[in-house]
Amino acid sequence: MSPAPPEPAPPVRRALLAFEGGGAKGLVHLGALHAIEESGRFEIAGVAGTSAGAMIAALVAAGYTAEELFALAGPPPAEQRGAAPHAGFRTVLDTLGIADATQVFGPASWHRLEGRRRLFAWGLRGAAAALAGGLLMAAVALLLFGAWGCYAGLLAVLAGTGWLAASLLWGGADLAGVRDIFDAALRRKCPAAQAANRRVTFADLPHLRICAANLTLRRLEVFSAQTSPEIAVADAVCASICFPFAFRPWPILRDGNRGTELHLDGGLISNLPAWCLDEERRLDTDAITLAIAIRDTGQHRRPTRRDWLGAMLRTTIFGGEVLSTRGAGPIEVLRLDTQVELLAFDIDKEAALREVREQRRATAALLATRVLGFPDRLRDATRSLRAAASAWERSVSIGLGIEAPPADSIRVALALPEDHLTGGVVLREGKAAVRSLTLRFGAGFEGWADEGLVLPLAGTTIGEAWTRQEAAFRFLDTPDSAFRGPGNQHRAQRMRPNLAWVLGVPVAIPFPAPETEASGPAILDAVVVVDGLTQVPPERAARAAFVAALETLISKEIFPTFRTSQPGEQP
Amino acid sequence: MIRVLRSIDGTLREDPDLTSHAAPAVPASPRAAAAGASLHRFVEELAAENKAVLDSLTDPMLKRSLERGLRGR
Repeated sequence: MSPAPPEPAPPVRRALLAFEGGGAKGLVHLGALHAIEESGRFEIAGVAGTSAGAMIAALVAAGYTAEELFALAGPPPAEQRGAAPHAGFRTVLDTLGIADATQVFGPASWHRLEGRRRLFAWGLRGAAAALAGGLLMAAVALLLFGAWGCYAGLLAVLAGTGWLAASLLWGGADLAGVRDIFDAALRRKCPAAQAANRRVTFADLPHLRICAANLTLRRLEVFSAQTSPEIAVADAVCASICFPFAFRPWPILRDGNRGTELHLDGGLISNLPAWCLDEERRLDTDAITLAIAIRDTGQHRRPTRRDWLGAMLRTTIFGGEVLSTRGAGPIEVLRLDTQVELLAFDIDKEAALREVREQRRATAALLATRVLGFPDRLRDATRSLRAAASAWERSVSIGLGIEAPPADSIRVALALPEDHLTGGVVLREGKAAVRSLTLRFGAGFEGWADEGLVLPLAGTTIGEAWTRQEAAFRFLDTPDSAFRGPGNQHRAQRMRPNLAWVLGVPVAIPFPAPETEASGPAILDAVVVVDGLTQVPPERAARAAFVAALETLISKEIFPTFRTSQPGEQP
Repeated sequence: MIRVLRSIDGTLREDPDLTSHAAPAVPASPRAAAAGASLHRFVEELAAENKAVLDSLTDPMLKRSLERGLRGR
């Protein structure tokens, strides 16, 4: 007996990566990048990033692998390493001869950064306490030394406040050291720039986009090979990571008469710039965008009406993710969270290693559930169902004595409830809020524009199947059977022409998320959509016979492949 | 049951004449049974793997994040 043929290798898909900003939280991206590379299923076709995400995006665009940026394979566990806890552990910084991330800033800048970190940690409460303390001292001075003592105390409070404000406005850390080190890292992967002894520019990295806030023009700046080919990538990275108050605004000299323009962290406007890859997505409609989002869900205390500054900053930076991930084409937002603080660039290597490893595991689980394994299986199931339905259709046409349908007549898809704000599907626990279904995992939809069509629940056969949880069927050959009305023009144009009938069968698909106490087992309610071109004669008898034959298709093929959501009908 | 619908004056209505109440006792086709079994086995295995990953995470914030992410949120 000959051995079974090996399974064909799963297809490699072009991917556009978008990395969110988050300061030291950007470690998340290294874990995510490891998981994306290890899956072996993606060819990176473009990258975009803001702030810390801009750093990762630029390094990936230059050709660095996850292992080169942050080696996971090397180091043995800490307990086996004894006195040299990081032996064998290498990051891209090690290759540049830098012992830790704080050295990147230089001692003076790191000192300034430290001061700001403490200040941010104090927040408004700390400032209010310092002011109250100063005023108390002035009152004590009034009692001890009279009016002149009080004046001196108030003057000291005023001077202290002024120093603090001036320090906040003008005393941020400088990023010049970061720019030089970053450029050196890029040059290692860019022989043309290395040979010419020049900085790596966007013209060298055509698939890179970096976002920053342009203070001079008061707008979002997207650096790319199209918009700014002459700009050094390291300069754009410094502009993008230039967190207000922590760093001084970053100047970039532009060509022509634009002069020098000041920039701050792109996270102030768009922290997860998945949208700026829209052109690539339109040019390459098969590519998927993987947006790596850093959730900031709050180990932090709840804000109060008096202490809202920190929460405001975090909301400004992380709260716009829903807007930033708007875009054309398929996009998957992988949301990861971390306890690493925004400015914790001095995180010890052991903690960083643990963090990156955990993020890698989490990303791999998200990819398997939402992008690769499970979606692959659903696609396999619709393909298998299409083959079965095509055979069924041929036998029915012979039985009814009608013209044999073309070979590509049957199409199968799943109509899924999707969350159009955050992406992803809506599981059973969120079903009550569903208003539309989206056609996904189509088999036979190649070349047709209606895959991905969003169908309202009201007024559609598929919506009826979902709402009433019963199989619904419709012949589409009556004059008013297509989508009608101004709101449906787009849908009507995208529908496959000559479609003769459509069937919707509600099913309940188990979802590979662990059961929780609050939500129970994860179930994805969906509607299996089957449509075809078989022209059934308008006579009642023929149509009734066709509908009866559909019962067989449902019982024999659809329900065994998926699961019915109708009680008592599970085979 | 298959509700057969037709559009009357732009509104979807049930066509009682064609709606089928038949429930044929047709055994599952081998291909569909195999596809269904394979899908469900895969889901069970992946759910177990995902649970193991969740249990192994030490960062509680990442754990919460992953729990939500795995449920599509």
